[in-house]
Amino acid sequence: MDPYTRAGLLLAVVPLGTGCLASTVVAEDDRAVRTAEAEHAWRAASAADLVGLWRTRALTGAAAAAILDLSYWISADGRFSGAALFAGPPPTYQVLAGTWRFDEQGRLVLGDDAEPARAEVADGLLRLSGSEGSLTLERTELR
Amino acid sequence: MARPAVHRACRPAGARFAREKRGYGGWFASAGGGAKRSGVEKGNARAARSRYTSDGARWRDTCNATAPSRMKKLLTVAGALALLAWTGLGLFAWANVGERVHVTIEEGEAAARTDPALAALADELAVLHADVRALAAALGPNLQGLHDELAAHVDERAAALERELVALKAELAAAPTPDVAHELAALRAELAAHAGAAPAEPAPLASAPAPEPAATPEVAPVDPSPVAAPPAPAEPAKKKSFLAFQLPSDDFRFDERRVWSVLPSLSRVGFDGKSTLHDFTGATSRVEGELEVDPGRPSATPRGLVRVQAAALDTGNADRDAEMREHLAAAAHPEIVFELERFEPATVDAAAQKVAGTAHGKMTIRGVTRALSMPVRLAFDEARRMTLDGEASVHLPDYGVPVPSKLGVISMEDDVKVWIALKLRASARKDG
Repeated sequence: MDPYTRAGLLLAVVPLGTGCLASTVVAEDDRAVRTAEAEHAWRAASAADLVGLWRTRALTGAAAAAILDLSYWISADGRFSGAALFAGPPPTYQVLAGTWRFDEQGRLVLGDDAEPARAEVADGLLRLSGSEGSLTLERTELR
Repeated sequence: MARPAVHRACRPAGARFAREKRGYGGWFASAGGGAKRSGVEKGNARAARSRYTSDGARWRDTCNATAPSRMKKLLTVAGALALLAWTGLGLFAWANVGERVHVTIEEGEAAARTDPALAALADELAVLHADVRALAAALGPNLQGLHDELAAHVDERAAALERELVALKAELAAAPTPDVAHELAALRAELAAHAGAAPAEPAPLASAPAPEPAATPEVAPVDPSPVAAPPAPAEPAKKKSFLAFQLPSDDFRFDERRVWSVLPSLSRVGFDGKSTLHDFTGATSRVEGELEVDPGRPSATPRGLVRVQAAALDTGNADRDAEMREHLAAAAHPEIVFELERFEPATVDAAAQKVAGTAHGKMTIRGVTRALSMPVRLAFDEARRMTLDGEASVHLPDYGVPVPSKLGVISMEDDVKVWIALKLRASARKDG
């Protein structure tokens, strides 16, 4: 193949290849980090589902304005303990302990005078929802 | 025959008035007839008078002519006597009453003298009287002085109250009523929202059937109580949320200068490049920085600095990323930096809590600093976090970045679109 033929083929193939490669530009609306949960098959949590150590994966709503991070230890004997890192300045931890229960509507009540929360689980996640936002926790193993 | 002397001398001293009365009655009765009486009537009258003489009294009817003057004298004497008697009775009564009053006092004093207890009581009463009189005498000037002082300052006090009233009216007139009304409406809405979202009172543990009773713990409820005593957050807790923690009240203010810190896990920066082969994006969340700004007055000397790890930019192609790091000289200049110098606002919507404008500053790439202006948008999410996004075109040769090219055919454009999508959280307040 003479050089002129090769050059002609190259000029013909390059534009064709350019058109075949799709753009990987991120759309403007997708630039921001999305905290939306992936699709999960959420179901109502049972008492057995709650037991364990949980750490925050996502926190939304008004609660997120005050709390930066949350961890719960939920025990099978009905007790629990929690630690929350409140926004500062400076950020400050608060801890508490008490008992948990389900109310008549099957909502989780952490302590006696807390607002009941809808508790759902899916794929090792625990989601608590209330009037002030939503908290998604992921199970963590004790070390 | 006239016998007047005999008549006077023979008048009895006994029932004198009775006779005279009877005599007056008979005289007045006879006088009614006057001079027209006939001789027969006069004779009858004389006969009637003669009947008085028949009872033995030496009354004679021979003195008819002198009867009125005698009666007059008699009446005068009787009147004088009556007057004397009345005066005497009055004097007697006055003297008698005065004597009795005197006697009564004498008796009281005598009794007091005779009873020691009463005497002591009387002495004590006298002392009390004296004290009361002294107290009244002492209070008199004081009360008078107080009255005078009040009277003297009443005008001054009224003037002061009037001045205060005028000042209050002026303050009320100058108050930003619409803002107050707006804040009140917002507070009411918030209160209504909280009231509407208020959860039902949780039932006691014993009466609460759990979805899975077998797994429901049966322990006595215990109030959640702090295990440790960490320092309280910035604001006092108001209520317990569904997270069991008490959330502080929302103190967010749009028109307040604060320092905002970039949340790397929720932020991303990148660039969009174009090549003859295909367009691509390089991005990273390895970004940090701070922004100090009053969103209500964004042009009021804002300050900001954003740093990006150049080596962390990811285009989705390892070979390309490696080539990119070489072109950016990431080892020698690990950070791409933008420093905010001023902000030119286009719109400031306090109600929607949104700001749009142009951020002017300096961009440093590969150790080369150039001026850069980037149109940006600023807003806040439900968690009171600031979102800041914008984009600007950067001419890579200006920063000494070699533009990749393959065989002179597959090449990248000199201009790339640099963009930011940051999320920041307020970290500190700043005055001014």
